[in-house]
Amino acid sequence: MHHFSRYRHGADHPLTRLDPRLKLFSALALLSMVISCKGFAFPLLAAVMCGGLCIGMGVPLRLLMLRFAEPLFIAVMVVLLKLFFVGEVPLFSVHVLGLDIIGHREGLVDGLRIAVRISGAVSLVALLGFSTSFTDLMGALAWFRVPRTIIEIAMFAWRYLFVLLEDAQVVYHAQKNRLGYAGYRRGLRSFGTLAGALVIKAFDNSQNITTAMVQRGYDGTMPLMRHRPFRPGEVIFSLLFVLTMGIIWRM
Amino acid sequence: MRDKTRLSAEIDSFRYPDGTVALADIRLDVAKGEFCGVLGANGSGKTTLLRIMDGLIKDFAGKVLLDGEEVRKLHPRDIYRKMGLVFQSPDDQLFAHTVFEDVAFGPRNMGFAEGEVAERVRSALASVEMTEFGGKDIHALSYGQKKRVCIAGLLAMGHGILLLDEPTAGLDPMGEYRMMELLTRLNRENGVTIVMATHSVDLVPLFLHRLVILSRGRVVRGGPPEEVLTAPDEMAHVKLRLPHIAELIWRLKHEDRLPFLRVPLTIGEARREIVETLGGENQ
Amino acid sequence: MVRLMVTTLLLFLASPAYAMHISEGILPFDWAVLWFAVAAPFVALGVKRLNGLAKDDLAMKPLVGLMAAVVFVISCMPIPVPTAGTCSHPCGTGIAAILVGPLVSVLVAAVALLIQAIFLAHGGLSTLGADIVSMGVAGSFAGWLVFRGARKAGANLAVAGFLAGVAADWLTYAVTSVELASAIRGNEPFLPLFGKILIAFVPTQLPLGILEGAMTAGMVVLLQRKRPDLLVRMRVTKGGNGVAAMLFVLLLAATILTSSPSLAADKWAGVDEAVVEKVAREHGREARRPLIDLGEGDLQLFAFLLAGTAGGFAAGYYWRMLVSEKRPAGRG
Repeated sequence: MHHFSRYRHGADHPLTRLDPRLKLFSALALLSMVISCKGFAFPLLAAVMCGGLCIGMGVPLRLLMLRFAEPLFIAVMVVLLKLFFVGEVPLFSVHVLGLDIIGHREGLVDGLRIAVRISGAVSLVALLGFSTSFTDLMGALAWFRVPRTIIEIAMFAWRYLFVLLEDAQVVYHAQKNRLGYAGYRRGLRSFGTLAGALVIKAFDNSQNITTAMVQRGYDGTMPLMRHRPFRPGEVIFSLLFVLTMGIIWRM
Repeated sequence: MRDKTRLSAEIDSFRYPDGTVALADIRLDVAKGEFCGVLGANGSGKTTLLRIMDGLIKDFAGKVLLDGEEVRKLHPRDIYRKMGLVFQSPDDQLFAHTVFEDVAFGPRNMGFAEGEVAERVRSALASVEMTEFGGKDIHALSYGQKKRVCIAGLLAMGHGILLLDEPTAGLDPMGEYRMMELLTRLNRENGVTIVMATHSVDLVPLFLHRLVILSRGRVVRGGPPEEVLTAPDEMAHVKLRLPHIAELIWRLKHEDRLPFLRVPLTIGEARREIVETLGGENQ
Repeated sequence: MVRLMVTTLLLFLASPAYAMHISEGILPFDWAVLWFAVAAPFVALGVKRLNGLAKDDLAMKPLVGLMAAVVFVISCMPIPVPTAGTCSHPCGTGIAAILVGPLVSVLVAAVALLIQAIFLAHGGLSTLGADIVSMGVAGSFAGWLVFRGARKAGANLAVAGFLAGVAADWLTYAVTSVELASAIRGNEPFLPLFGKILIAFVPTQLPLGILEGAMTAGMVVLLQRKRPDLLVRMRVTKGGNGVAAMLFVLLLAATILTSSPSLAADKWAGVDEAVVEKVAREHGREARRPLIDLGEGDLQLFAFLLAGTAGGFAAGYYWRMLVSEKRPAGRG
């Protein structure tokens, strides 16, 4: 259904083993720099660096392309939008279907600026996602004092996401085998049934999980997540890295 | 024997919200160290019975005593320190991401220090033969492995009583056998009192001390397996059957008039019975 | 005219699959921060509300987590849109809001969006605030208010569900358009671009909204038929709270008002220079240089970033003490 898996890449890569809190901090700092950047160089640098690291970690190229497909598509749209509608200085004109469509210089520059920003930001977050497990990421967010309630429900969501995805696929194929998607109206109805079945499943599952957890002493809050102590070397490395990138960003 | 009873259920009646009677006139005493089975067809009320015994369902007429105290009046904390229910579907039970995190949930909630938690997790995983899976992600486990982790999660809390809902359902034949062996070992070596609901008649007589047959919410018979599993027509009446081997001997005895004395329930017993009966004839 | 047609054509192609989420990196820093600030109070209220609910019913947190997973799965499903000839996906916040209420539904959306941002590059971390505002806040409140309103007006479950789905979908897309237009406009005026985006979305979003409505109605009816107990438990089929509804209308109105500063900025550009400074000068109070002058360039932005990070960290660090109580120490 989606290019979405729990497959972890580069389990032995130093980046995977880096403290998730430092990874999150560095990623968010760099993300802020990328999106507040008005030039081209820095986002491009971030994109190349993070893309390279992803490949270095052994993320299959195909998966990487799939991950970038949607944002890059949007980036292209933004460039075209800006190219044709923003600016004064004509760059070229195309004659299509009796219409003159003019591309503008400022629009192109503006659009490319946004497109570069998108690539940089997406590769940063992709690298974070590929090198960090969801549990680690939530642990890091909890350390940064994101409310516990949000962390807890995110953990439940992640755990049961795959159970529900599998269920959805089973129901979908069962419906398809019986021509549930032959014809538009029937397809829509089948789809509604599928979604409804998932909601019912969510209710029943949550009830059972709660019972099972109460049996094991659940009183409304999950035990605190534990973090291993910061390693000074990693902290210094991360801070230096962010600082260096900050200096490059200022240039 | 009375002083050794750990769990005793006297359920006069329980109705589902829609008014149909789910359970009626249930009397079940479980002694310390017993390995007891609740056998019944689907829809006979097995799961409901376990849920009532575990204190999850409270609006029934009757009482359930855990070490002499009524379960309904106990604080959940006090119930679940002694007794735990393993659900049929492991996905209803395992909510954490790694095996270790899930098994550690109970001990952590009981307030143990982290060193003690780790030790309890280690020994619980060892009991279910999953020691090397501590760091694995739950979703990467097989169905049978997930079931084992469910059991470990309760063992880590030091439970003396385990209630299991269909522990062998959904496992392949080898998996069923290994699960039953595991439970037997927990029962014999760790002294865990076990009540399990099941419908697998072929496995039950190999392992269980005592059997209760549940049909339409009522206990129709109870006792050691060889007393309970006797005639095919009686079993059919409660929507069950005899173990295949027992059915074979029963037919040879009653329909072909072969001079078998007993109706054995397991292959081993049957083999002995056949050798003795037919071997004696040949001599 | 030609421009409009081509825009329409372009967005017509672009919008179907991705209309609901604003992609990573599209919003510049200040806009991203603004939308986080708008989303924060709603998320905080959602957390507070959920904590309250979870006190009475321990199953609430797992339920909300699973609802987030359902919303995630639903929004992974391709729905063919006949007018566009491509697939799009519903957002599912309408049904979530109907079942768990609008505030908690904000959390449902936030969690689903967070997972999509990190592991699918669908939406983004920097645009999470904006996406929470459009999908979580606008979608949830629109769906919930319309559902409750329709029920109060005597509509049956199916009709109310349909209207709620439509409202959630359309309002989400309207707010997304505001966010997009304000961020990518550059030096262009806001309103024309907003209009273009809005019009461009119409061919896909109009029918998609109706599909989402049909789906929501189907789900509510299915629940009513198969599991009426769930609807009663979530207080969907019993009367709602009029006062709460009024409050939410006001909150919603306030959000919409505060969320369109660029509208005001276009009309009132230069009010500082034209009025305030002039009056000040007349009274002999000439404008003086700032105490710490960082100029107007990247240095100022960087200082802002630092201050924002420090402030955000401090606020986040003490956040928990404000919104949730401490866990009792001795237990077990």
